[in-house]
Amino acid sequence: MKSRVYIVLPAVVMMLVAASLGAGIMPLTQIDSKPDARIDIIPIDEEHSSAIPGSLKSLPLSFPPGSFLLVNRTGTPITAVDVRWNYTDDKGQLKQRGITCDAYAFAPLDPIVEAHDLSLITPYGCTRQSLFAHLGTGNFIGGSPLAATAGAPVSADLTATIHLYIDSAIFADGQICGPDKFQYFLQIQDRYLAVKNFVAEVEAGRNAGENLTTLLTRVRNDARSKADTGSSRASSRRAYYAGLLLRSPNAEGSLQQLKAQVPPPAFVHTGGQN
Amino acid sequence: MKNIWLVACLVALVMLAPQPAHAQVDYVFSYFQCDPSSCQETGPPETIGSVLVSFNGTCTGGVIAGLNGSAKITIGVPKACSTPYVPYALVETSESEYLDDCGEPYYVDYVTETGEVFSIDGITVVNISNTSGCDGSITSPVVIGKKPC
Repeated sequence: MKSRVYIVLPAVVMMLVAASLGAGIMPLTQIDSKPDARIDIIPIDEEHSSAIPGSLKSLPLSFPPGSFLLVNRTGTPITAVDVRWNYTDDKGQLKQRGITCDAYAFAPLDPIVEAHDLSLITPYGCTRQSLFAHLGTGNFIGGSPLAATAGAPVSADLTATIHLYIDSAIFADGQICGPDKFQYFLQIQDRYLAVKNFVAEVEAGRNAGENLTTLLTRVRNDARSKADTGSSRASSRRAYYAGLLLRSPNAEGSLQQLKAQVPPPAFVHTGGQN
Repeated sequence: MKNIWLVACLVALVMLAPQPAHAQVDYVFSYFQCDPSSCQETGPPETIGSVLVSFNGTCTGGVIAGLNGSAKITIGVPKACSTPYVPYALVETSESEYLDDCGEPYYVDYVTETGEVFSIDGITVVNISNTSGCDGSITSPVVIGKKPC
């Protein structure tokens, strides 16, 4: 009788902890980032359940393995974050996975983590605290941040520890926190330059009297016939933006959005490098 | 007999002569297929719906055998959005030129899966892109922040 209690009790405790997180079994997440006074990383797992806000804990949700809360301790919003996970998959293979949430991609600049606030980061998306209530219904444009949209879903061995680090957290004033091995800020700069050049090219063509569809088709075909060189993706970005306007339900509206692209700040590394 | 020795010597000389350096191999698609064959899918403006594009490709170069994946965009699931949006899924290949240690060019093919949602007035409200290369490289999916219906 006693041995049955010993077996059942731990199982019941585990179920209660899991239920209190509103989730199934979550693997432990180890944070490999160096501590930084500007940010906190709170993994969504049993060990950190007391630090998870009630607005999230009360929801009956299953979080993807590796999910965490990114807390911004500063008065400056975080406008981009590049995250990496190292984990063991369900076949026992070591895998690396990442996600980059980027407010500079399309205007208006919509911060990833507001000043003195927190956001949920999963391998599939970033969600600000003000939208946590929507997680319960999953009603997000394009799909829930708790499910994969592009790329395969994370299939982690739930008994193995997941390693997590933030390669770069970029603040609105240009501060870059983290080791920045992948130098994501270069992508922001490269893309902004590509958008600026593309908009100038479209305006020049229109001023010369070229029909917009003809112009965009010409630009797209020309860009697709050229390879990118080195780390710059100028040709593929040029092709992408021409295609974006061609498939848009309102090309003029899309062009205005590209014109309103927010110039990135002067980036400066301010800690966390190895 | 003399001629045979002469030919043999010439062959030996050619074989012993320094060989030109091998350029870096290319990592490109030898085969690529999308479903639908246009590699893109657009939905009508809708408050509920989804679009899906999938692909598979075979790579040269020997690092990876191939790549496959999909991009899926949903709108108004499980509950319809109050305003209509246009979902879009696209799979696109691109090529980059690099220089090897000897300054010789070599090429790498990439595939990017993109999911987008436009508002009726052409504003991109959702954009998710994921790029992988025939050299085995994977770029983290880039997303803009999630927005509710």
